[in-house]
Amino acid sequence: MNRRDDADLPWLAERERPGPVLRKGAGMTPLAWFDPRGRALGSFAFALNRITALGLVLYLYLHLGVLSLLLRGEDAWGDFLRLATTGAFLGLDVLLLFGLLFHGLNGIRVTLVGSGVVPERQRALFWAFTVVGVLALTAGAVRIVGGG
Amino acid sequence: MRIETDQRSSAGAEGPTRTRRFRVFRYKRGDRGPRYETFDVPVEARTTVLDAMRWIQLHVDPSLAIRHSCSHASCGTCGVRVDGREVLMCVTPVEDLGREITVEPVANLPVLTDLVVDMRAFYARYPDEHPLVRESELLPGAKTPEGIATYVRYEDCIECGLCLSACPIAATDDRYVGPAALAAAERIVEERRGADLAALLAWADEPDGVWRCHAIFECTRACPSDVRPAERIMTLRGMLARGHAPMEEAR
Amino acid sequence: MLSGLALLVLAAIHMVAHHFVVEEVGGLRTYRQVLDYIASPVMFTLESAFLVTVTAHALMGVRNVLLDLGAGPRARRRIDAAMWILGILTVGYGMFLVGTLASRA
Ligand code: HEM
Ligand code: SF4
Ligand code: FES
Repeated sequence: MNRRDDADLPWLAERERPGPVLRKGAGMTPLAWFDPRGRALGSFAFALNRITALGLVLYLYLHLGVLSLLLRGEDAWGDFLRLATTGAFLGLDVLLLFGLLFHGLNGIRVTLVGSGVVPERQRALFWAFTVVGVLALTAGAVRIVGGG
Repeated sequence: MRIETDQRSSAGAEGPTRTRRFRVFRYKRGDRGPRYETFDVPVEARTTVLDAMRWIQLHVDPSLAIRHSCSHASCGTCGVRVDGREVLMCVTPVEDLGREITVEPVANLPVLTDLVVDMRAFYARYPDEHPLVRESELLPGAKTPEGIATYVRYEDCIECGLCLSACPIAATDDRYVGPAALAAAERIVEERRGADLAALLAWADEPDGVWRCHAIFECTRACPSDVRPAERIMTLRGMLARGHAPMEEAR
Repeated sequence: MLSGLALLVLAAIHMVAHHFVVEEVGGLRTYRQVLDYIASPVMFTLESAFLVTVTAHALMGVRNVLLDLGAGPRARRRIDAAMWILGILTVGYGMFLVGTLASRA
């Protein structure tokens, strides 16, 4: 139960002194997460993981919203299905699949690396999982677009 | 101006001195904010960024403030960001860089003046109760030379702050303890020498400790001393996850 | 508190659950099909478990993103409270949804 209080963080007090603190990102600090300048593979994976994650959260709620149409009976659902099987929509589905695959596979990689199982092999894992991901994405895209 | 070069050791570095343009971050106490100043500096084949900054001090602006000491990558004082990447000035040849070179202080630490940051905000992140520089143990009967009371053990980390600067999480979260301190903690776990392991692991097992890390590995890339902080954080996490220490799960 | 570990473990569970779901799908299209699908007790349980894990994982994830912005102890407590409320609402609504649909089959 020991929760750190600001009083226990002496470097925060140092921060109060005058003098600018350089940050990455363009203007807004959180953009530092997504600032690719001078950064390596790990930052790219992290940034994309975060973007896909937030995208997936958005989708989760969208999904719940869409499923509510089921409550309104067969007609509403049928209308939605017609919309959902148009070309543009299927493209979005492929995007969703990409997001899921990237986030999921990267998640497994981060789990393996981050729990100390293979702390040394993150790069190799990244590329191995990329291969798996590309294969799965291609297969999935063909099925989605090809009316599978 | 032509600078004589030693023909034997600088084969390939021929001809008159070329110049490079340096965009240097400037800030003095009381300034409204930082600005960038440009200097054209003559360079040779083996000129380092540190040489260039000293050239500016000598020939153009003596008020340019930098930190440096050893000039051979072992004191860690000359860490800066060159074109956005964390490096030690003393071992970064200008040769490998572009025509225009941007030199800035390391990120995520408060700037005192020009390229000098306030390292107190870095050292304050180390846990006080676990001293990180340790005395060597001597073999029974061994003696230290005249005038040297004791040896202090050398540890890899040169406390340059580059890892903290490179970390995207440190960029948004000042509460994060940061790579160097966590790596040092892992080093103690590796070789505990009487340290209170449980307390140390509890210190690391905090939202602002190992759990703030997202395995981005920029610190490992930035580290000039091969400390590999990210790998060490991961190892610490593994230990905590496998319950090598009191896990404090749900609040 | 966090813990990042819980998040990792959850993600793993969720992976497994997800895999089952994907296996079973094989062309869910019409209204009827969806209702039949959700009415089967196995799928109902799986979907519910899925709902809970995804929501938990997603909200812990969002919490983590917010904490990376440098939340102090107080802000952390507020974020936690907000996430709990949002989580309970989400799971509640999700359960209502599957429940209603299953009862219509
Ligand atoms: C398919 C299986 C999935 C796995 C294996 C997985 C794994 C992970 C892991 C390991 C993290 C931690 C990353 C880090 O610490 O940097 C994470 C973060 C996150 N996940 Fe997932 N995840 C999955 C699916 C999802 C889904 C479906 C959603 C959304 C509904 C989601 C939302 C999030 C969010 C919001 C974060 C926080 C992002 C961040 O910290 O950058 N995840 N996931
Ligand atoms: S861990 Fe490496 S980068 Fe970080 S302070 Fe120590 S020597 Fe510098
Ligand atoms: S001057 Fe000592 S490390 Fe560069």
